[in-house]
Amino acid sequence: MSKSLDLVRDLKRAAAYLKTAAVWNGTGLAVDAERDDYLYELLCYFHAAAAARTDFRLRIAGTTATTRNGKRAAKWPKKPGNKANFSYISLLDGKSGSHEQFQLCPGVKVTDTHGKARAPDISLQLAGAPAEPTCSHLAGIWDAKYTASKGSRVPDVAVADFVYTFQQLGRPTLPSTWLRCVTHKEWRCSGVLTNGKESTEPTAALITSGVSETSKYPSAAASTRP
Amino acid sequence: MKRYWIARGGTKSVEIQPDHKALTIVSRRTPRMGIGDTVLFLEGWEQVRFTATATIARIIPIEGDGAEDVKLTEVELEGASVLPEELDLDTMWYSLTIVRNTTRPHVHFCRGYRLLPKADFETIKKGEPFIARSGYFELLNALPPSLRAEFDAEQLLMAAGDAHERVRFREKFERLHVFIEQRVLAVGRLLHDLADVIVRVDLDGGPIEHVFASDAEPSKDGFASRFDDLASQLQRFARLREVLTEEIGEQAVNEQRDIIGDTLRHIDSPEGRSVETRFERLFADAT
Repeated sequence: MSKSLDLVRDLKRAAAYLKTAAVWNGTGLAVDAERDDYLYELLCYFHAAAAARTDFRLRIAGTTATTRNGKRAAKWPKKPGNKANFSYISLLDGKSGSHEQFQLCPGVKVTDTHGKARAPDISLQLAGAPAEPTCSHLAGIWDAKYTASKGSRVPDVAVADFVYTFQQLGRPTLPSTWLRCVTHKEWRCSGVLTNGKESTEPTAALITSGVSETSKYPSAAASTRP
Repeated sequence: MKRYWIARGGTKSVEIQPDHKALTIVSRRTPRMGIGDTVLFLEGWEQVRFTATATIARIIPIEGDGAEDVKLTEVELEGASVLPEELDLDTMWYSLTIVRNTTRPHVHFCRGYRLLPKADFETIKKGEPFIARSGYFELLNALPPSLRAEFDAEQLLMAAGDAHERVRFREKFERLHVFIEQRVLAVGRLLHDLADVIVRVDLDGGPIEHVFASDAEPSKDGFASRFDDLASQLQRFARLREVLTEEIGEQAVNEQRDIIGDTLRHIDSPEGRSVETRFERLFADAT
């Protein structure tokens, strides 16, 4: 049997499996790392949850779904959505396991100081924040920017865009109850996270704006400015 | 001039006699086959294969038999020679210049018999496939239409930069590989990392699945809006990964294979290069 025929046969088999993997199991939509940027947002979101894990008890709250085989499922947004339609993680007091301290929310809408809905990719909301939160319920926000080619920089406009959202949402500040527990630098200040390289914004500009920027996240080479 | 034909058994118009000694052809017109032409047999139901070759010795029109407008011809053959086994049609078809319909290659082999260019005959006889073109179309056809359209658009833009030079299939195959890495396999990695960190988060309240959904719109048909679930998609990618990196035999327990990398290396090897060069030239002439 010739090696080249074997190779073609292997490629053919791989193509058959590629065909299945390249389509989403429920909606039948094409899989696409560029369009499905919510996956990177959720990856960052769960890393935030992991960072809070040491001092809080974490529990799924909000709206859940039931899968085809009848299992309970946390429901995460693909696009900015209404908080009432999705799950979030309730951060409970680490010792008692009750008493909500914060709500860690995925990309849900939050009404800004002028009544406009904005949707940071990740928001840390105060305990008891309602289903239609406003910026007064915010403790911190983060945006996650995925790039298909890891060598690319996060564009300056993505940082500028985030800074504007941050301002319109009243520049939420992370309370001491959070800062006392969470030691990971990227989660100690609202900001932008990317799997790519840092933007060309000077660090001083980030300081003035009160936001952070974390590049190559998550990886061993991740670094946060300022 | 001597010509080459494919005869496909089990079709309405062709019946292959035992041991490839003769063909019975039912057709409107008398087949234009000639004595000395070569016939290549295509046989099988579940797995269609090129099986043997033979030379035409005699062509005998059978008079007065069958319905009107239909001619019955008996083609006697000699010198039947069996091809190496496992020469599957669907492994070989992208190596043939007659296959122009690259999304439905089977359409070129529906008829009972057809002419075959000499170069294609030689390709089959040697059992040497055009790996780059085969891999390219296999993977391209596996992509959902929207991704395929995006890849095609990217290629058009790149072609503008390539000026007059024809892009070799090896290059196309490699570009497609990069595209699939960045757009599809990257999703598999993200899902894998996501599942990993979810385990580490260790949520209270017992096991829970994870689904991705768009904002629930008031559903028109009464059904809840559909969603995609993490576990199922992860499984799909795990199977793909397994196939792409299958271990080689038993001797290499920890050695992982990379099918696409192996393919490119084979194409670039001295023996691979001479085969691919022949094909690149063949297909450049055919277009």
